[in-house]
Amino acid sequence: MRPSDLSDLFRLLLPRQNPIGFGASDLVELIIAALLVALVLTCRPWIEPYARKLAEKTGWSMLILFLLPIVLRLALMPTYPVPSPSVSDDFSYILSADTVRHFRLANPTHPFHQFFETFFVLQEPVYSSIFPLGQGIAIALGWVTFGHPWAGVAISVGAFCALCYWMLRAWTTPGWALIGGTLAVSQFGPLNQWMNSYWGGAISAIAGCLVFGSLPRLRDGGRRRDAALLGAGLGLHLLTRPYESVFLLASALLFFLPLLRDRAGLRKVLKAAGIVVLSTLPAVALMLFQNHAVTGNWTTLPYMLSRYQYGVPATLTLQPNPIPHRELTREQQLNYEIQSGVHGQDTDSWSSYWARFWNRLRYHRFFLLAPLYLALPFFVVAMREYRFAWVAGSILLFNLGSSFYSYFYTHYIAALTCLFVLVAVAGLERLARFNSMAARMVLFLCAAHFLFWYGLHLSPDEGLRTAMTQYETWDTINHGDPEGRIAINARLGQLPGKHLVFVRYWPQHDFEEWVHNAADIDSARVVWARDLGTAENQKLQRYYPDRHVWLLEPDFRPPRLAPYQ
Amino acid sequence: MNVRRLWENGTFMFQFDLFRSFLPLRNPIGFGASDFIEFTLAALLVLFALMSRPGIERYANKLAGKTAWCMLLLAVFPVALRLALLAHHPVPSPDIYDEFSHLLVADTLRHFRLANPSHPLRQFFETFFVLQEPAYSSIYPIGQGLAMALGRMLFGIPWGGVLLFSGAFCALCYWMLRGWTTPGWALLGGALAVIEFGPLSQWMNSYWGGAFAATAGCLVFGALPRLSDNYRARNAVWLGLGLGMHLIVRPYESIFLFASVILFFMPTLRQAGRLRSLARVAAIAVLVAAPAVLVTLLHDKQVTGSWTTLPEMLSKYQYGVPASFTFEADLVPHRELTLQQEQEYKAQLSFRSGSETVKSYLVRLAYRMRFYRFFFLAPLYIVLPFFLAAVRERRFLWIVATLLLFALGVNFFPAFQTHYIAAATCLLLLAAVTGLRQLDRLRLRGHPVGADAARLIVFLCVAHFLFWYAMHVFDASDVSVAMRQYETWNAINHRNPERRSFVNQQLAQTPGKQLVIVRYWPQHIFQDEWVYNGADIDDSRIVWARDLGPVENEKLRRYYPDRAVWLLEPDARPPKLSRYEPAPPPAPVKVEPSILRLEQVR
Repeated sequence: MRPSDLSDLFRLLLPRQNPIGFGASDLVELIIAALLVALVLTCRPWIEPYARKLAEKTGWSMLILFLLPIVLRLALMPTYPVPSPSVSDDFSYILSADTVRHFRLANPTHPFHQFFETFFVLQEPVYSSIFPLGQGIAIALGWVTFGHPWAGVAISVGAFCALCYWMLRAWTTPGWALIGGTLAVSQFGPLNQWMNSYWGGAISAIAGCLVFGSLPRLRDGGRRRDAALLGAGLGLHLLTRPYESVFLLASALLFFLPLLRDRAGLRKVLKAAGIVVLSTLPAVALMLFQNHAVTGNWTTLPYMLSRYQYGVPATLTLQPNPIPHRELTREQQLNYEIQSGVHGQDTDSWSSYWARFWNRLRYHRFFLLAPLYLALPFFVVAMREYRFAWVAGSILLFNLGSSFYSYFYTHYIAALTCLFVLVAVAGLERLARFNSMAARMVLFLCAAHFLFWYGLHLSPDEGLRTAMTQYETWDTINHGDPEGRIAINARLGQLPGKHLVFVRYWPQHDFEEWVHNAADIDSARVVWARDLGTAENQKLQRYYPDRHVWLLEPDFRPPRLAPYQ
Repeated sequence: MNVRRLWENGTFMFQFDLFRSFLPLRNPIGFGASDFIEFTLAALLVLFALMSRPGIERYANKLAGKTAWCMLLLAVFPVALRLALLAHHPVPSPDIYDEFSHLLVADTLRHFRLANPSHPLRQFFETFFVLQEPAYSSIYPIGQGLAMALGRMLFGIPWGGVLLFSGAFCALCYWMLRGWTTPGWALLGGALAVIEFGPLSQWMNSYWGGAFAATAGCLVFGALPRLSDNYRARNAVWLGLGLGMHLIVRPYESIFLFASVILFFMPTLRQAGRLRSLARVAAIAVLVAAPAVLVTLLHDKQVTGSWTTLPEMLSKYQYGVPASFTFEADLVPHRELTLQQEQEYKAQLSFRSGSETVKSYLVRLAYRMRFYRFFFLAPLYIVLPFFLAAVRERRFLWIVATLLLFALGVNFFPAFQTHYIAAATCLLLLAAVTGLRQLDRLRLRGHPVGADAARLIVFLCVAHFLFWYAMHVFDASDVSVAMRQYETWNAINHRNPERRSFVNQQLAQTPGKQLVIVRYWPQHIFQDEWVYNGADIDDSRIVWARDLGPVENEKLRRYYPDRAVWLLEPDARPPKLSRYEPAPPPAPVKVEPSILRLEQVR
């Protein structure tokens, strides 16, 4: 039977119109059953013995876990090409990467910067992203090495999966650590938002692995290497999520709380504290330099200046809404109003804070596949041990802390990712002690979950994909090109020479932004500029006499690109 | 705080609200629809894994050896589960005309008759699958009617008989499997029967039959291996009883059942020493089956006037339906048909795609593969290849041959319903159980991994059942409404034929005897028949009659002077029931037969 015949077999999912009488639910049930049976049959004879051997070999395990998510994502390239940036944060991080790639921390202000006003980018006193450098450095690294910014994203996800295993090695047996690493691949690998956007997540998660992996090692051995890694983790996190670093540092300190009763242990850790601070210093220094280069002040972060100038990002809920100190474009004004609306007119009350806190519980599904929720009660049992109670405490701390901000995205608490994996693994480990078959069932279902959705994305049958992916939750592999950016970029890519594209929004346009530029605007092959009217536009045209000039109307469906008249 | 109070104060409802929104970010715990299903499945599998070895398996193994207890539990279980659903799914209401015809048999038997005298104004009572002359009778054999008559006598409603035989089938399925496998696997097979053919199955939720023939199949296929072991008279009695029961429910398929029995004893025919014992048990079986043959002959004589003409054959001659076999010529009616009967005749003719060729026969055979999903839950398809591994044993090869025989045999009839091969149901279950058992023995690289795999498949089947059963327990919940569109092959009555219930309720509120004249509109769907009557029409509280025009109707009114007369227009939405005014009806419009045939799409 040819594969196309097989796909035809399941195309009609109305039982009596399907050659073997299967409805949609039957098909799903059969696939899940077949996957589970295959896993049961192969697990003990093949998978487990090899996995046990592999789990002992740290280097090999890390290498495989590093490569696996990348290879799996690359295998999807025919159906899902390299992700295209789409939200403003993506573009701002890419600008950060491009800036770093030019060995700069900020770019000079453009003489016609009014044309380049966009979101989350400062135009004055310098032209720069408002975000910290961490994610930009990762993207720049991939860009320089492999020629494409997304390579940095893919590498960071691979590194996170590998380090997740390394982190877990300090908390559990090699076998369970390998299971944790594999869970990380299936949850945060090829189908995940972090792998399929430029928005970050993996870098903070790496930082979390370094911190939470070195803490128990440091407590047990007091080795310099672990202290250096702890410092590196804290530093890396500072460069990606400065606000949440407060909670990371607090949780690291809390970890050593029991040592107050253990003088010898405390002395050992205090000895290493110097190395921790020392290895954090480069990150602190880099941050200060970026602040100075962008804002002109050592202690003013770029996004603090953005808040002053543009009124965005929103302030903490304890603070009043910011007031912009700059003329905003229509889209920037809209964004400001929306962010202020989400923040609310007033500062926080207890009830609004708790409502927000509870509301955010739903986002934790991102970190745990549905079957893993069954391991949670068993983790609660494990919390009798201080270290696991501390894990729960750290998760709570981050959640309480991030609830002071009116927005929430999973990468805000990405540092906790390895702790979530640890929670699942520790819970399963307890369950397995009680009944190994039950723990296996949960793991098999997680594997079946991944194989099912990954297999579906791998399938060339578009009809089947369309029918099923509407039920896929939390995975965010790039679906199509809803905004038409890829098509426009492809068209511009086919044209020779340099281009200037004036972007004209229609009155009903929301704040989906198309004006995003490179660090070195003048050298870029395509320059995107706002349409400021004929007279102003002519100035820019004169500034770029050697460029083909285009008019883009993104509100046209599909977006219309025509020579500028 | 008791459960009721928890429910009333909303504590329980909160649990359901939790899952009400399937859009992840609108759901308090971020679960989408697939997460919810996955979590439920995971929870059930973990629960089974936790309970299986220490609890369920130990008790099940103990129980499996106690035949009577197992049979009792398996008989009661599907019935109790269905009764528990009555709040949302009341006693099924007949809807398809086959059901009404079987109910007429039941009512006829309840009057201790095999046929009813022809009514003097029978032209008013013309309907589908009912003979008006020479006697007023259903065209069907008496088996299904007998079951329902029994149910009506014992429990006051014909559906009682359907329940009775559904329970009996599940119990006898275990008994049959005991003749083929170990007690543990037999109990598992019985449990699978409950899951597949129990409270959610079409057989339990219609009057169309299935369980009665399946029960007969259990008796036959359960007696055979027992007889081959010891030739005890008791087993010969079961064999004869099974054959007899099957004869009075599916006469045509009985040929294949009988052939498979002969096939089973073929090797014995070569063993001269055992021939004598075989002859003895054959004689007993024939003796036990003889009453069924006699009752069939008597039924034929009473209904058709000929000992050897089945009522169905007379219906073919008079009305041209049911369709003939594919190797026979097209039927020609020998009676004036009503518009609806003529359309039904043409519809049945359309099932036949010209003259039969080997190709058309094989195409139909392949097409019918889909109907086997009724007998196997999706996870059980995985164990079918393992069953094939068991075919090296002659007895399992015989099972394949028997299944093939049934499939090939019924393929000569142009229509197909699962109850046609109901007798083979226990064999299909045996195939599944044998496949599971083969898988259970599988060892790979010294690891007994097959046992876990087999266990997993059983867990999945149980999870499948629990999931859909729960969806019907919480029938009114949003979750259930959203999910039920994905339920396949189960046929529990959703929104019982509301239109019929609506009219019946109106009539029930009116005291005294009623005559309802049914007037179809020109666009009437011919299969939506409303004229069905009891065995004793004149004594019925409600008499349903066709509208034959004011002049003819007047005769009927005069015949029933003490009845309140109603006009029913079922094609109005909702159906319109009004006092009958003898006014001229609209001229009938010729309507092309609809390609829709309810029994095919149901």
